[in-house]
Amino acid sequence: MPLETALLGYAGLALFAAVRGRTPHRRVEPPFLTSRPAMRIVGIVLLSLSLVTAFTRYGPYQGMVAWLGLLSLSGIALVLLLSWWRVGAVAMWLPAAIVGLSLALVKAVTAA
Amino acid sequence: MKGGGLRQSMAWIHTWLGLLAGWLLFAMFLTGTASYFRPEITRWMQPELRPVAAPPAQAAASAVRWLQANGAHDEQWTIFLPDDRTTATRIFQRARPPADGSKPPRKPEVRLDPASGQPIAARDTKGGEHFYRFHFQLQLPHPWGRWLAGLAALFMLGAIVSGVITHRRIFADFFTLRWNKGQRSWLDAHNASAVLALPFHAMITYTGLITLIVMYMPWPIAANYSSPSAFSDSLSGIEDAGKATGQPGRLVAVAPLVARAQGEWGGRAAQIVIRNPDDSASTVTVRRTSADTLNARGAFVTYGGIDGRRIAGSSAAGPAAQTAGVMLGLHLGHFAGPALRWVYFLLGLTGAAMVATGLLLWTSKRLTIGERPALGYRIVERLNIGVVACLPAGMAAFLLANRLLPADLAGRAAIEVATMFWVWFGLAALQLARPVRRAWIETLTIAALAFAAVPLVNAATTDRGLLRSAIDGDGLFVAFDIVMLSAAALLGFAARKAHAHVGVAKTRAVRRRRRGQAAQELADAA
Repeated sequence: MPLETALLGYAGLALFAAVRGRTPHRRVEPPFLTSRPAMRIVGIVLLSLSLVTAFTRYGPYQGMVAWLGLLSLSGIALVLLLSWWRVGAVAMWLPAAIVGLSLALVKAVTAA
Repeated sequence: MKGGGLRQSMAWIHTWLGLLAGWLLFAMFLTGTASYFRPEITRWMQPELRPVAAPPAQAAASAVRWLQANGAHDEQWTIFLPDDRTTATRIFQRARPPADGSKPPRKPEVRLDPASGQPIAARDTKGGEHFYRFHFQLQLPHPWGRWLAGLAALFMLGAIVSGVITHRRIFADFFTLRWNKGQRSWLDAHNASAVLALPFHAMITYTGLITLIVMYMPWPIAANYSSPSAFSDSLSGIEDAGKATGQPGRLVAVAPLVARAQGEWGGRAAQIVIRNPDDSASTVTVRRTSADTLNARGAFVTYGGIDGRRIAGSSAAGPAAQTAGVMLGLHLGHFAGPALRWVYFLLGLTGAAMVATGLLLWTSKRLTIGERPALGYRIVERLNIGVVACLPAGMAAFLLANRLLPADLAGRAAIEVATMFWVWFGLAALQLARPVRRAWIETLTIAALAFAAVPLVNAATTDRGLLRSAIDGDGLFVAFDIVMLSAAALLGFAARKAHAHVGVAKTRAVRRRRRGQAAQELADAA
């Protein structure tokens, strides 16, 4: 299962959702990241890693299709969770990133 | 709209294109989504079958043996070899036209056990093929269904483009979904389901339209080929097959040819086309599977049917053929392994949700409290219920009919299909007798109950119930039941929400009445 792509995508999108709050009371601060530029940078890194894992698993052609599809699903899951439990949905960026990165590392080590 | 800006014009286009094609698009999305599991649905619908997988060469040999005994003088045999998803060999025969030039009668599809080469003994059903065919033929006579589906796809494409232009805050609203806020909630849900899966919606709509483009725009082919079949023969690799000589000939063993073709590609064979099988000019075309490539049109090799020599093979396809093949592949998703197939499935459901929320947004936006709605509004409202809530009930009824009709009933495949339409349209007609709010709750509840009944009826009528399948490690049957229960839960949730909405509406109406009475009393007192 390409879970690592979906989880890293979720983590990246969750940070972008946290950045997006325009007014302070709408803003949710994710754990370990307080500044908005940091959230953006980490978000971009996580989304890029998600792209890399999709390409690694599916190759250059199917990789893009897989990444877009999985990222869409991660986004839908995030939006549903945000609508129900805003703080938890954003806070989940960290476990999603850790599990996603671990799975990606395991896959890389097994492939090597 | 007069004097309005670009966004307003686009909003107008988006609203009306979406509304006019919406009901059809919802049905196309839902049945198309189910079609990603076409072989699996067929296998579920023939529970008595537990065929053993056989390698392509063995399946080819057994199929040819059966065909030589049951159609030796046919003009063409097309054999679809089994793979890890389809465990039966599918056979299509084309009889030789009679001497008077009339069209020969069409022979029905035959499914064989790949190992034994005998027709499979299982209940007659259209299986997943029904949803797949309905998705683009809409159960209408050829070519009207395909034309209507194409028109709907064209509307959808227009709605996507105009929707993107209309949506001013497309990125700002990316993560917004607010529940229980009436029109605002429908707009949020429509935006979220549309924008988050926009690449999929755009891809699936465009490639869907392109899949049948040769039918919609036949002129380039008319200008360059002698006939449409000459074009399709050229694409499928059987153009090099010569005409029958009339001299009898004995077909070589097909299994070694399949093995040779597979060796040449390093991939699995998926299809064999044998032309003039009992003639000295017979040919055997072996086509590669497209299950591991984006291009849905796999490579092929054509051999002489008498001597087995290699006559032709697919050269590198031109850019146009490759583009068409990749577009078809992206739409069908045959390349997708199990994980990506589920991604396709869930994104397809998101597409159906996008269309449904758009339809509901149309009515929610035009709802006027205290006034009798216009006829057009009432028609849209009823059609929304008739399609969004009643079609799923019809689909569940199709599956239930498969289990409840006697396995040996004559014409049962057609009855299964008819059941879907009777339940769908019957329920859509019955809901007209109920108030709108109650109709939503009741039809959604019926649909939820119908889906919940599928695993129960399956367990009661077969030996492949959820528990038994879980013990046997039968992933397909377990997954099928879980999907049915999830659909039931989703529809039940929608029914509950509709019920809660009625409660809220009633409370508001009571409050309004009380406020009105209080104001009246104050006025009287004054």
